[in-house]
Formats: sequence, structure tokens, C-alpha cells
Amino acid sequence: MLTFFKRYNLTILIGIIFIAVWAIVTKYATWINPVIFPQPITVIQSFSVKIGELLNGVVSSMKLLIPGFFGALIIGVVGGLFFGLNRRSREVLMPYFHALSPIPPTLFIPYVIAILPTFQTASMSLIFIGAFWPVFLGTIHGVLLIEKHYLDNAKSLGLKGPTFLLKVVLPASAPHILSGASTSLAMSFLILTIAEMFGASSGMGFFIQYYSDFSQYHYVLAGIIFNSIIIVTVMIAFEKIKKRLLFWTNLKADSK
Amino acid sequence: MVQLLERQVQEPELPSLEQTHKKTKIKVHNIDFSYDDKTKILNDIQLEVKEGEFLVFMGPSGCGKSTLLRMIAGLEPFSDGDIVIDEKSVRQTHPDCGVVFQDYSLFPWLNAQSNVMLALKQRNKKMPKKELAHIAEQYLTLVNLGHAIKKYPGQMSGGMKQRAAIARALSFGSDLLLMDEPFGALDPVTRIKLQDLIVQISAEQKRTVVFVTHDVDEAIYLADRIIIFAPGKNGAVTKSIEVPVQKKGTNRQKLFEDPQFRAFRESLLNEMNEQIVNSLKTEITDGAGI
Repeated sequence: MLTFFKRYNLTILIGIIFIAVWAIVTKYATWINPVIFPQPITVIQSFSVKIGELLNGVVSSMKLLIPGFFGALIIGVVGGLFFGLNRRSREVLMPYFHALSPIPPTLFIPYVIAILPTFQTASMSLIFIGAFWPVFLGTIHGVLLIEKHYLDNAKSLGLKGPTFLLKVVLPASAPHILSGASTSLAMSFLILTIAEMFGASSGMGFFIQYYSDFSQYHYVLAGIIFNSIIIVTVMIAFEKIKKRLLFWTNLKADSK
Repeated sequence: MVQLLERQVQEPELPSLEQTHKKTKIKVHNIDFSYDDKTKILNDIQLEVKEGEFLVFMGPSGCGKSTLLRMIAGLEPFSDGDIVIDEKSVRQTHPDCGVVFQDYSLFPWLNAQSNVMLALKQRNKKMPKKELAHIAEQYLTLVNLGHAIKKYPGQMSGGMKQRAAIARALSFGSDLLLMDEPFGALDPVTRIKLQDLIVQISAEQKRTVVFVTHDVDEAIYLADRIIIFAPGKNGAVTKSIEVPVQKKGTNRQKLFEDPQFRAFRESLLNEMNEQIVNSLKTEITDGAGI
């Protein structure tokens, strides 16, 4: 703990200075609009007032994010393995993948709203589209970059079918799959909050949009801070899981 | 220990040494290999390996000995000629053999035991996991890795990794072992230890071994017969030499003091050097390599 403070003393100091400047400026500077830039203490109070609403918002957002993201993860990995291993299909369709993957999913908003019956399904599909490409292309990439000697090994052991897929291909391409998935997750949050600002009746993005419509920026700011903490926590948790799954890439030889 | 393993993996009764020396295990017919259709590496290779024989491919790097081993292992396609193992062509059936590579035989995401279990499972599909784990442990103990069965390749030294790779190749249950410079990346002491291990195992289990190395001492110490590869103008020239010294069971020091052994080593070194010098000469007159 002590070493933590020693190492990050400057970092922490900068944070404290930032909050202090914020407090002083918002309190004394007359040229700052107090509605848009509320005092830190007001924001903290807003937290305690709205914490229930904020938590409900997270739950409601997760109901959109989880199906969208995990749907993309599963279909992306399965599809990526298929196209990674099947050269002919890959050659035929890869130009389409390259053409479609850079399109911002938000461009599809009018269509998904027109086609899909509810806001929920429309948002989930947008999240799915946004999250799909990074993990899908990451998986294809991962399969193509599998070191030849792993394949030699698998061949010399006569590994085939599910064993080959689960014991060799999937772990060997896991570093690329997971780095794709990490991008997918960030993308999912981005699309989620955008989608919620348009049509939701609850959620992380909705909260911020709703109170900005009433110019209650202390709630908006509380919402931004709270949601950022949630998103950062989820991303850190994901990185931990990733590191754990890829433990074998980071092992040190024991002396004996 | 060895008998126990053989019983548990249900290996067939191995015929006696007298019989094994008569049967042909591998037959290599007219094998050619060239890079980009120009540089000829292997030219019309003919080879026979007897059952139970310890055959070493020896020669400098880049003369095609590893390539030939990979062809025998079914890992490298070839256009002309044929390779027949146990009377089955490698073209039709993937050869039944355990392979040890220089330094990448194991999957780094599986620990030593799971790596061996993966090979065992290929031969014993229905065997319960617990039993597989137990046999895997026995094989790892056989190569003196009983203490490290839960270690991942990333946590092991080069020597340990090769021991585990040998255990895996043995557990695969095939009586043909192919080893592609398995000790090439090891320090000299570890190398000697593993040579002793492989001599002991091949003597006890009477498997057929094809072993690639560029080290003369390693070749003499291990081999019943040595195939010398020398780079030639039109692909490698091979020459088969029986090792005249009976070594199995003799210790290394005695062996290296034995005058017969020393004479043989000397002649082999001369042979090697002569071929290398010859190949250099042709290169110079060719103007190639300048």
C-alpha cells in the first residue's frame, strides 16, 4: 500500500489539484456558467439523490449490452474460425468483409429502426454489428497467424475435428481473438450510449440525455462520472480475464 | 516401470532383437526435393530403415536432412518417389510415428501432463481422464520429470521441455520415433544427459528411431547406423555408415577411451570434412556462393 502511494504520489497529487481547481473556479469565477459547470459538492450531492436511478440505468443498459456483445462474441469467433480455416470461402468473401467492417454501425440506425419492432431489438442489433467486426476479423487474423509449428505438432499427433479446434486452433489464436473482443467491448459501450440517447426510456446514456434536456447539468455530470466508472471497471475486469486466459504467453522459466 | 507402461498402454508384444533387424520399417524411394524448382536439395534419395534400428541423419545445416525427416513424418509433401512405412505409403496414410522437434514440440497453453495426455488420448479414445492423467505421469516420470508434471512449457528450461516432448512422443505409442535435432538448442551438459536418456529408452523399448543432428559425437554415440548428408552440386549426397562399435550399455567415458571408437570417430570426421571441402570446391569453381 505504502509503495502504491510512493509510486503514484504525483498522479494522485494531479488528481487532487484538478478537483481543487474545479472547486475554486466554480465557486469564485464569475465568468463560468454555474449551470453547466456545477460545483463538485453539488455533483456529489446529486450522486446521493440519483444513485437509485443511476443503478437502474446500468441494469437496463446491461440488458441491451450483454445480448449484443456476447452474441457478437460467439458468432464472431465461430464465424472467424470457419473463415480462418477455409481458404476458399475466405478468398471469396474477404473483400466484402473489408468493405463492410469499417462502416460505422450508427449509419444503420434508420434501417434498424424501420425494420425492427422495438427500441431494444434495434439497439441490440446495432451493438451486435459494432461488436461483431473486431472480434470476427480478430479471429480470422488469429487463425491465419497460428505458428506453423503448432500445426505441425497437431498434424504429427493426428489431431482432428473438435480436439484440433479446441486444443490447438482456439488457444493458439486466442491472443488475437481477445484483443479483438476488447475492441468489441469498447465499441459496444459507445454504440449503447449513443442508442440510448435517442430512443431509450432508461439506461446509462438515457440518464445523461434526459437531464441535459432539463439543463440539470449537475445530474449530467454525476451521470458521466458514474457511467465512466462503470465502463472503466468493466474494461479493467475484461483485461484481467484476458490476462488470465492468456497466462501461458507470459510465463517465466523456473530455474530448475 | 517400462513394463508397466507397456502393459497399460497395451502396446503389442515387441519381437526380439534378432527378428527386428530383419524387418524393414521405412523405405524411401527416389525422393527429390528442391526449393523454387532451381536449388536442388535432395536428389534421388534411396533409404531403408530396419525395425528397431537407431538411424542418424548427420550433416551440415541446409543439406536436406530435416526436410527428409519431415517427409517421413508426413509433414512435407513431395512430388516424385515414395516413402513407405510399415508397408503403407505416406502419401495415402498419415504415418504412425511420434515426432520430437528442436524446441517447439509442446503446446504452451497446456501443462506437461496435459500435453502428454493429448497424445495418449489419440490412441486411447475411450480411456477415462483419470487413467490418462496417471499414465501421462508415468511417462513423465520415465524421463525424470515426475516433479514437474503441472508445469507449463513457459516455466520449463530447454532440457525439461525436450524431456516432456520425448515423453509425449513415447506415449503416442508408435514404435517409430522421429527426432529433428531435438537437442540442438540445449547446453552441452543437458545435451549429454538427454542423449543418455534416449539411448537408455531406445535400448529398453526397442523402438525404431530416426534422429537428425549436425553433431558428429552425438551421431556416433546414438546411432546403429549413420547416414551422412553432404551438400552436392545436384542435391545432397548421402552415404550410409554402420557404427562398428557395440555401445549400448557402455558408459560414455569408457566409450570415448575405446581405441576402436576413437578411430571410427576420427574417420567419420575426416569423411565429413572431406565432403564439405569438396562441396566448397565445386561451389568455388561454379562461382556460386561468392
